[in-house]
Amino acid sequence: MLEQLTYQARFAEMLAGSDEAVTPWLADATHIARLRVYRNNVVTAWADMIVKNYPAVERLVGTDFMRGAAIAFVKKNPPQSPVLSTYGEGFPAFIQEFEPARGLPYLADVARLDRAWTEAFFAPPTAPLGPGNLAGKSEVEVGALVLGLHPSVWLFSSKWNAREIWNANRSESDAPKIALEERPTWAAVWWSPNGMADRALESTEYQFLELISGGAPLGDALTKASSKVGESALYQFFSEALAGGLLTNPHK
Amino acid sequence: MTTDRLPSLTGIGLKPEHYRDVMNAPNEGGLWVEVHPENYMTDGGPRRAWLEVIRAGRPVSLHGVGMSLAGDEPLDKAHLARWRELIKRYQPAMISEHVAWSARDGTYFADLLPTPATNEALDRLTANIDHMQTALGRSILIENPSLYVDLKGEMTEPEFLVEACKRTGCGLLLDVNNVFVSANNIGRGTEDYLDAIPGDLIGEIHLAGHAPDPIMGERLLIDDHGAPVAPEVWRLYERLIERVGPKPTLIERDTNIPAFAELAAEVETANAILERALEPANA
Repeated sequence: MLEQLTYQARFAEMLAGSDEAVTPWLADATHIARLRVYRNNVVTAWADMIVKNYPAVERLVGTDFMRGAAIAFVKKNPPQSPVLSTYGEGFPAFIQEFEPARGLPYLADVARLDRAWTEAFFAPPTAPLGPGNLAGKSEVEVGALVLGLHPSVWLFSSKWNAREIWNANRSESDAPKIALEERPTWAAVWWSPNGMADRALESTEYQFLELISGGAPLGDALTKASSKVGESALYQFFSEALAGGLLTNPHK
Repeated sequence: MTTDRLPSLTGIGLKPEHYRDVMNAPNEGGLWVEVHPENYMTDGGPRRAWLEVIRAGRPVSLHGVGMSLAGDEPLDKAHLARWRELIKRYQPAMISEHVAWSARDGTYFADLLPTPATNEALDRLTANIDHMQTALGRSILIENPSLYVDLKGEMTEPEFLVEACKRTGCGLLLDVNNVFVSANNIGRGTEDYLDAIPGDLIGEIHLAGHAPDPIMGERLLIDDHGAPVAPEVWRLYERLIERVGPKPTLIERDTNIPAFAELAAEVETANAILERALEPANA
């Protein structure tokens, strides 16, 4: 009897395109024409996950283009784990280099936002820091706090108005037409106490969140990031970030 | 309702589209649910929270697709650890996997690939079942595959499966649609197959729909779980239940997800068959 170890190695070769690889194991030689079913099942299951995880990209490029891009991606980057919910991390980088998408320079940034949404959606369910957690602390004590971003928070920057385009194409409803603009934009995507959330950020707000993420004490982060806009505007944002569940207190 | 074992009634494969319907479904019907654990092996996310809510009211079965029990590589330890975490959290009434392989050399194929029914394959399968049962501290059920090609073997598929159960103490998850699809595709009998399975090995039954292959038509049926259970599969199921008595039964639908009411109607059909098997005339 032919060894099974060899059988599975040869079956894997068949999945990569070589039908003849498994003929020694077929009881009915005519079944060689059916091996495409397994090959198709595998590639379809992989590509379906990419299409599902990048819905705004699909809406922008259309079903056929998306499926072609997804198949090209999965053949080069097959999943390594049976947990497919978060499969496809490398798709934004892939689409950036994907020759047929060369005319759509903002597409990779839209893909990064789709990816941020998936990451945030499946992030660990940590309770965010709320306004109540700072009650009773003096201004000096609050300024010395070393906070962190909630594990679901993804910060995003683009040289296009990519978040506007992404946002308009993320849902099934009729998308308003958004004109592409080449201007720097910043955004955050996260899992808020009310569910998935995203918002545009000013550059100072983005800088502030990056400083917090990097471990800067709250007071320092506010001072550094507010040098251009004045502290009151950024304090307003800090309150919103606190209420929106963007922050945690990892050292509590 | 107790939630620590499956009743000999009908459940459904739980999809996010039906979380709310299932949460609101009355408990009297004994509706239980089954999920693919891989979809819940994430750090967080609302699916995990939903399953916790649903688990509080009805039995949950974890039906894996990624363990690669028939694979020629050792089981993935990280995957076993993820299983343990889910078992601890959701206290499933049943756990099951497939007689198939799905991973090799660092690639996960996301399909249930066939294994020849040879002695060597049987040794490998039973070693992996032992490993999984030991690692999880529980016995499992193993599901018969859908076949699209006929592989050279040294025994029949029922012989292969029954022997695997005997050696490891695991039970069988008998998928009647898979029996029908495989028999159609490789030219073997359905009733002979089912009659060769001892009733006491059957811990659960699966029912699902299939579709003709777009190129070969009815000669090659694809196990796509995308349609209602076929009349021939209902007939085989009824015949099986008459012989082996009521068993926990699952209606599976993984593509073309219909409204909950459509699945609930199939649940009622199956429950009526299970109830008839309890009537004195059949006892």
